[in-house]
Amino acid sequence: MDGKLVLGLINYLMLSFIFFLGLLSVFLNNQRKKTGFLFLMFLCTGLLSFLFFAGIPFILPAVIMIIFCFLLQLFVGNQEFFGLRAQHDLGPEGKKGKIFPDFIVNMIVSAVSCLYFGYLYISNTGKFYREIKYQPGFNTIQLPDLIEEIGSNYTPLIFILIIILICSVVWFILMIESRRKKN
Amino acid sequence: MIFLNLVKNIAEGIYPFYGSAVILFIAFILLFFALSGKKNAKIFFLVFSFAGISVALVLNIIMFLQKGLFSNYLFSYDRLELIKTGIILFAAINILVVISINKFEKKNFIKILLIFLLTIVSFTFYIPASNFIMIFTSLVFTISGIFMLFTSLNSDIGYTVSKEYILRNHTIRFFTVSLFALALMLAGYSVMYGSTDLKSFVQLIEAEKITDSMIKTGLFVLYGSLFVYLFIFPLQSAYIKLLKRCESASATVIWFLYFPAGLFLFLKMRKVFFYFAEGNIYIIYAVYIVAFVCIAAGNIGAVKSSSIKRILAFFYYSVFGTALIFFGFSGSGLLEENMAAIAICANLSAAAFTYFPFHLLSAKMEQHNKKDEIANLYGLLKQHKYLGVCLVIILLGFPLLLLSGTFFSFTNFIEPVIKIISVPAETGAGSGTFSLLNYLGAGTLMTGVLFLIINVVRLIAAVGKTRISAGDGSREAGKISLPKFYYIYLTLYCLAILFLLAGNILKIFDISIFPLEASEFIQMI
Amino acid sequence: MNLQYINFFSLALLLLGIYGISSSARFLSVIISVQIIIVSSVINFFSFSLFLYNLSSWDKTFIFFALAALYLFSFLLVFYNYSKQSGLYEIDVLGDLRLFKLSKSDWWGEDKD
Repeated sequence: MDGKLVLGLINYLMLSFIFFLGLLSVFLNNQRKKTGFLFLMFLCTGLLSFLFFAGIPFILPAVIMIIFCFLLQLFVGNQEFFGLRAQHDLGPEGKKGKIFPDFIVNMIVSAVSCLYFGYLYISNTGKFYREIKYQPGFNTIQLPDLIEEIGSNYTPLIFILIIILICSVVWFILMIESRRKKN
Repeated sequence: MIFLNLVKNIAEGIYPFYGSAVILFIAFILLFFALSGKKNAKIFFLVFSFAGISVALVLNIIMFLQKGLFSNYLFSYDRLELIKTGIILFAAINILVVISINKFEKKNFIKILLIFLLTIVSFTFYIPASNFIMIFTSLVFTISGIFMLFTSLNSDIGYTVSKEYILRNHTIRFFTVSLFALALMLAGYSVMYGSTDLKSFVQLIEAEKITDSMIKTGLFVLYGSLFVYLFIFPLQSAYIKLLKRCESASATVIWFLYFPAGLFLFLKMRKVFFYFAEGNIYIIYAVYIVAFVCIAAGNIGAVKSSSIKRILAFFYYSVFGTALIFFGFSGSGLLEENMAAIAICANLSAAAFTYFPFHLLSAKMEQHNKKDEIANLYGLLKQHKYLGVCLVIILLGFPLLLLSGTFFSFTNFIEPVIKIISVPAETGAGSGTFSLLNYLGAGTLMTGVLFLIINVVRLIAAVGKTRISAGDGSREAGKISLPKFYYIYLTLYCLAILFLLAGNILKIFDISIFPLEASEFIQMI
Repeated sequence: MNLQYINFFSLALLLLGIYGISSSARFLSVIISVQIIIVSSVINFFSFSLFLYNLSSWDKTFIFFALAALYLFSFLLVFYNYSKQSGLYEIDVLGDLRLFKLSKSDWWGEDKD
């Protein structure tokens, strides 16, 4: 089998997995399963980046995504394990999964808007895909070159990132202190 | 000598961020005292921060006059960026006033101050950003800072458990919508990348790539994300609900840090907007409709509300809607493009001149009466004549400053309306459709002004109304003891508003008391 | 490999994300929907870079900084949510946190809750 054909098939397979896993993680009710499928979706995205020959430069963002997913899983696990289930009806806030008319209206309006936007996108970009010129080969930049590019042109951004990280450390301390006071 | 050369090289290298460097220096020192709760430290750092932000404001202007324009791979610092930075630093001084009044006694005050200063530094990097990566990333960092500041101000405010929980829910709703808007922005940039790897809006227009279908689609997604970010009707739910429930200093953070970030992004994309809007009926219709909905729904919502914070939250839409009408006029050829760009900054300034003093006073009354309602204003004119008069001037100033563009004159922004009404055949492209369009724009502006005046008159009437005594001596009609600082603060704002209004009125008779002529100012942008 | 088909997938993911955000009542669903939109943007960047550009660093730089920033903000939001919980499962997990609710009190009148 032709290498490009194999690559193409694996690509479409990965994309299908990503879409299917995303669908499951949005629509399932169980929180642990949602985060589990989210993690799998991130894993497939990481694999896809290798198929796009951008795996190595994508490593650092991928690590951030995976760490975020793990933390989300921890929080959800904490909620599932330690959350008190009510023995009696908690009023409007406690209603579980009942379908209200405004929920249905919300779903219908969201679905219709998304479909309309999708139609607009496809009809507007059709011309672009007919006229594009592909590059002859698959060439991507390597990690050392990327680091050099970031270091030489984007130093102010790294500076602001450090500032906001310091800010967030102070904020964490503040939030933890206020939580201790509340407890 | 080597040291002096080093300092000189650093100074050359950090232009135009001298103001940011000053604020960062203060934040760096604050870092070592972040855990302190001592009163002397708080006073010292509060005064230090005020001084630092004021110095940053003045330094920015002086350095710009000396060094002029600046442009590189990431930033583009022009006169409009100088104005934007000035507005944000001015707002920062006032937000600091509100924070210090409400939070000084708290143990976390220095931490809140530190978060505030770092957020302002991040904002000052966002303002001159012109490269797409710089714009997007610095915007996300700024919003993260605003989120941290907002939640810090709203922690430990003495609410009951259920009220705190409701506030938490609305905070999460509000900032999750912002996160969604930012994710949509990333999607917009990714779609644009399909057509070109040009790195700024200016490059897009100069390379004439802007008519590519992928670029147009990406820009559509970007404008959609901005629509969501600004909570424009009908997506206003999270914003309106949050503003009523949050602490008073955090409300000013939303009005004068969060929303300006979105408005400045709209300004960064103004050349793109004008490129497409010029002579395009559909875009101008869309602009007028959005402006009309913002102004009408905002003012109707304010009329039906009895909560002062909610009224101010709705009023904010008038600020944005009025500026958007000027963009529509510009698209129709009735107003210069630069004037429309200035209109957003001018309207923000007008809002700042009104909101800060009014909100400070109403927050104090809310604290005194334990309720946020328009009845808090009853009897103010009778019991505190001076404050009542100040408040009336401030309230009257709001619609008038919006119409005059704050620092210009009434004629600059009313002229298009006068043109449309008096000589309709000569306006726009001359076709019947354009005349109808311009009538829509003029009608929207006049409706907006009328609604706003009705709301302002309602508030002024509340100030003059006599309050029915509650029978409790400690809360008798309108009696509230205020520190001297409130009188000084309100007086300064009244004088400023009177000066601006006098200048705008005298301009009609060709007498100028402002240091710069409006036409000179516009040509500088 | 056809670029258009790849972008159909990324469009489908984008629409799924938008649908999830606008209709979900749960915080976790909304956060997951945002992640899906981010993944769709990453696919766009990488696919365009592979097919249309030679040795482009723009997309990778954009993704690096954009993801660092967005995930920092997401994490702050998630941390805030989970640090301010009531402890009651029905309220924390099953409560209505829809972002775009249409209610009369958002247009006029007072809201009492």
